[in-house]
Amino acid sequence: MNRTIFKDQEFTMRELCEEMPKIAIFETTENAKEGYQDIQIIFDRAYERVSASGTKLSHEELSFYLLALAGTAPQIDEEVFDHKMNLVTQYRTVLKNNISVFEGWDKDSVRRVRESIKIACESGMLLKEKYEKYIEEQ
Amino acid sequence: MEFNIIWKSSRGLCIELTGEGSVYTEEYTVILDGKEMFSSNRVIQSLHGLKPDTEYSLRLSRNGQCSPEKHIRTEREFVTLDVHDFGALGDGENNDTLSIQAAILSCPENSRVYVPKGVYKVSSLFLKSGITLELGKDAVLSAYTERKYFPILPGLIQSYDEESEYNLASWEGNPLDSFASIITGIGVSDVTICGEGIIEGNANYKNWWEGEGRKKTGGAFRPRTIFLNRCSNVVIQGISVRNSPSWTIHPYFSENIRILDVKLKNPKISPNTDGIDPESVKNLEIAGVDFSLGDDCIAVKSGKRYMGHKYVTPSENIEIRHCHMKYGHGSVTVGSEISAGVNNLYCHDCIFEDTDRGLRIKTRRGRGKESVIDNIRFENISMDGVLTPFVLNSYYWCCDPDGKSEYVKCKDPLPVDDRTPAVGKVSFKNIKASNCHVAAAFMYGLPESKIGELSFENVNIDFAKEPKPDYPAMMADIEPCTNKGIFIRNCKKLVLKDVCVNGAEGEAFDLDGIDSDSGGQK
Repeated sequence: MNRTIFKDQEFTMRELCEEMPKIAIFETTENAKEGYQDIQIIFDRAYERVSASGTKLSHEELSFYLLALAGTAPQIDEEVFDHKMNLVTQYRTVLKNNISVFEGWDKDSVRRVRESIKIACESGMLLKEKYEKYIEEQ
Repeated sequence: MEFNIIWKSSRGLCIELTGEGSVYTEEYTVILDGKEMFSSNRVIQSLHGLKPDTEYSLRLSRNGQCSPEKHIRTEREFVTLDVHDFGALGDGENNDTLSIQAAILSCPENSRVYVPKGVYKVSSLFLKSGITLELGKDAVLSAYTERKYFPILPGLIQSYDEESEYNLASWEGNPLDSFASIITGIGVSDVTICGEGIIEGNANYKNWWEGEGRKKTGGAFRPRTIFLNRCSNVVIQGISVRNSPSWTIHPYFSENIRILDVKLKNPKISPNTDGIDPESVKNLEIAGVDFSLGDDCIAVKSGKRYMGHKYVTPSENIEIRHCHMKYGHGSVTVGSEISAGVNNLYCHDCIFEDTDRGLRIKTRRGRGKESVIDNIRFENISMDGVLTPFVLNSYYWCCDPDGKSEYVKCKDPLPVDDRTPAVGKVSFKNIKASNCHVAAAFMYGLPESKIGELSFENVNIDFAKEPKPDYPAMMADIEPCTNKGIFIRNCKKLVLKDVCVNGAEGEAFDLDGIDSDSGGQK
């Protein structure tokens, strides 16, 4: 697996969502975590796009980004705590900014955000008692 | 012969002889109220078995000469709670955890929980403010080693408003879930753990130190023997601690801690069994402690990047004196988890014996700009059989994935940014190191953030007749060696005054990247 595929080129949030959790697993289990820094850099670039674009980023992209973070952060070894928490903090920040509006997004995007919240609650990224109400459709 | 009373309680006291050597002195007799009590050759010495609120006269005698007499009054004590009265059996079989815990939680302020002679099987005991936990002579708190008996302390709990967090546990610089320690203090103050008894961790290679068991197993990392999280005004005096599951005494984000006349013993090659690991601790006194361990005797820390950057709490104002440090990797180590820095460490009048390194500073790029090590002083130290007496390694490669990255390894100057650590002044005075093996000194600063000042004054180093080759420091691109002289790279100011290296192979002084060399008397 080429773990630097995102590093020097543009990527979509969908690609991030599809690949980064797998890359994180590979780094943790087979590559002695040497690529964690690359993962951080890639998510930092994604976060810059999210922060800079504000509402211009599509709901689809935002939902893929959140799901990418929720899928990747739990795969980072907790002993490399600052890397793990950087991703968790990104996730919490962006989710919080969108938590009151995401249910008005398109169906697939809402499903992805709900899925990310479910993973985040199960992995301790979010307080379950506070966020579990968003997991199921009201 | 002069002495000071450096600590007293309702039941004991601790004396320190002045001007009598580093750890041991010529044998003397302790005379209490005119009665000869015992003889000792230790500079720091405890007396046990006193009565509360009682006047005593104390003097020392040697070869017919007596010290001036000192009059002291022990502290008042409200009540003693004997753990037997709470159901503890001390028979080495019954689980006495709950009985002793009940005594602790029932204990009013200015009172004592007393553990008399016996073997008490325990898992984790939690301290309470304002009490003394005294282990009597031949009392042993003997810890279980089955994980199922130990509660887990979560590393980090998010606050409900998501604005803050509650940090309960720690593992190697990160806020990670750990088993509660055999003695655990969370936010307690004015606590004393004292006496002549023993805390026996019972760790061995079939339980806590076993291969996979060293890492997170059963939902948490290994317990310490004594863990003090955000505690203040704590004294640990007199006791012995053996076979710790991991670090032996771990004061964490705590202040005003005194560790006096304590004996810490773990096997020579036991993993991560440091002696004392002050982490983000302010005002710590370590005096008269005997260390015989498998890892660093004292390792001063301030967390990895997350804790160091978020809480910015350095370890500072640490005095270490009259200690005997034997075996283990470093006698006094600073780092490597030092993201919030370490300053004002003064180590004096100690013996370092057969450790890999004497002073050992470990840092690397990535620890962050808050990681500043400054004002580290060593004076009147005698070393014997230490492989390399002085090590300052700014390229420490263990134990995280970034350790062996090009960023950490690069010997060329890199831009100074938020990730760059710094080392200020480090000084050594009146040091004799005999029978060294690897190098007299190995001090390697970063080219873009040079060591502020290194000062060696009246330092004498010689090598063993049959030196063992080894690495002088844990960094990339160096080879094992023996009889290397003083090797220094990247230092702003270097002071060498009356420094003697006997038996070095090659150059006795191998210096490069020094901005100002102000010593000529080598």
